[in-house]
Amino acid sequence: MAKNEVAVVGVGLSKHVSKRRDVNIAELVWEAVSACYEDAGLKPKDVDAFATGNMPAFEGVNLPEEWGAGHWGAYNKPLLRITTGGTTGGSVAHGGYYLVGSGLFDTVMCIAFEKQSDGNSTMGLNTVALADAAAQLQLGVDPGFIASFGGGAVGVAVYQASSYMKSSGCTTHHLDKVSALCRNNAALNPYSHLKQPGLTPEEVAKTTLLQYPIRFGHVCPATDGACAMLFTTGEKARKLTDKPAYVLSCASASDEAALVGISGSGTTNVDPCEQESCKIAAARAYEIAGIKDPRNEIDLAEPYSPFAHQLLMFYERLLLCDEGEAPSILDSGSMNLDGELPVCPSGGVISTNAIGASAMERVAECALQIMGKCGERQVKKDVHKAVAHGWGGAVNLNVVAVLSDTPRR
Amino acid sequence: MGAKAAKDPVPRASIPLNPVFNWSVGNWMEVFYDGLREGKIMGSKCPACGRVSLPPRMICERCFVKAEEWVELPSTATVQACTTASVKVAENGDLVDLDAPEIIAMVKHDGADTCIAARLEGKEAAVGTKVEAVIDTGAENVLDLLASYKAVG
Repeated sequence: MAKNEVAVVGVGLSKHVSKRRDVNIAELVWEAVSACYEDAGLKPKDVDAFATGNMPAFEGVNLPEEWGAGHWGAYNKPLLRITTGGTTGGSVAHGGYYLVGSGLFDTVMCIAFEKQSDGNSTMGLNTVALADAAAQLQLGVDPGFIASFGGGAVGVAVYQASSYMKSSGCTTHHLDKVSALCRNNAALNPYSHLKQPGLTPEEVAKTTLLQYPIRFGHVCPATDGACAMLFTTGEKARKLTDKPAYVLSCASASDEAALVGISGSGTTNVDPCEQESCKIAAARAYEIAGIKDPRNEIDLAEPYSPFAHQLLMFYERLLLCDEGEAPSILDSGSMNLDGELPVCPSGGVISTNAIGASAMERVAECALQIMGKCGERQVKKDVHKAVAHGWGGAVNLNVVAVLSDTPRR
Repeated sequence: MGAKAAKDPVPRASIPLNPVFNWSVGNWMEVFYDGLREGKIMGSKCPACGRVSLPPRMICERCFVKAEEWVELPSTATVQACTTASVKVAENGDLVDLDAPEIIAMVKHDGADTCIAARLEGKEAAVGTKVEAVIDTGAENVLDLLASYKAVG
């Protein structure tokens, strides 16, 4: 458990679209950072350290610290860079929690971003796969097999989706419903990318089939965007705002190589939808947060779901219901903005995916919902406790954070 | 080469990669390039501390303030650091020998507080040498507008 209470006192998001040709990467990230300072009512002089991350392969930017001094207000300040693939933003938020919770720093600015239009996402994924080639050889797998087994992120997702559908009873209609739910929520979020107000499951079902069972309408877009969050001690937070969002816990778990689709190895993790590490991370996070019954104590969830089936799969793996139960919970309407346990009120990763920022934006949405700052997409119920999730690494890492409107007693 | 590779006990695979990046220069650098097209050297000035950045930057690194003031700078500059290059990077990424050595330098324009990386004409230069920008307003590629620097006088 953290030595100090940790709270979120500010969130900043840039505009999220597919191509921001009007700004360079530094200027894009500045939009989120300056909005975050403004939201918290703080200035760079009030910040003791910085944590930052992106997924470098995607836009070929490995040293964003070069312009961090100017565009983040980090001039001559301690700075830590964290990059863990798809979970990058979540890990950066965890970094902020550790930096403040440890008592080493009082106020920390966390920044995560991706400007995918500056690079080449396929190239980015290729470099991830190539970096993995050495590991595959050590596992006895021919790296040349990658190409034929299934390309890119969709290739990773389809095996997981079909396995999940078999074990849970989730149908393609459920996938269509997930997309419709998220894109409608996204339409109410000024910072989302794909806004499709009124989108119906039937319309999603008519989109192009990419690889069974994933259709075009079940997949996230490639987004340019940035997210910034200010973490500080509970004591300072209460002086800054009447309604901080406390971070009760952060926990992560790294699984065995779950590389079905990337290496085709199958490896020891035979079922890509099992996601044991998500269950372990969630259980750890709830325990640290003092949550005994997550199904009844969690008010809102932001699972990381760039593919439709993942919203349901991770809802289960976050221990919010029995395995196989999520599709019927979706059918019940409980996951809607006015439901009992709203899921992805932001619109989720399936609507907006600036990769490095995505897992942080889950934490940011939980904080904003607790602080009551979500405007049109604010959920109906009072949010006391929320769970934010990220999935990534080399598809082996799960990160979970629990936020609350009250510090842990 | 083929025969030698066949004897190599380590299996090797080469995977062709052709990454394409499209970095946006951003609003401030666009003003800089538009200025060069008209033969002008535009720097950005921090309204808080007065520092002038060349090339221009949106945010003053020291103050975290938007540098929204523009100043046209003289074409004269001083060499702050320099070296001699004997190779260059070819389009395919290989290093190739230059026909003649080139001087590359960090130069600080009169009135600017930051340096710009530049190629110097001529065979000799030293720290402190006064130079002048050579602008090719007709250059096709914006990156070639600021062609080089030559010694003053």
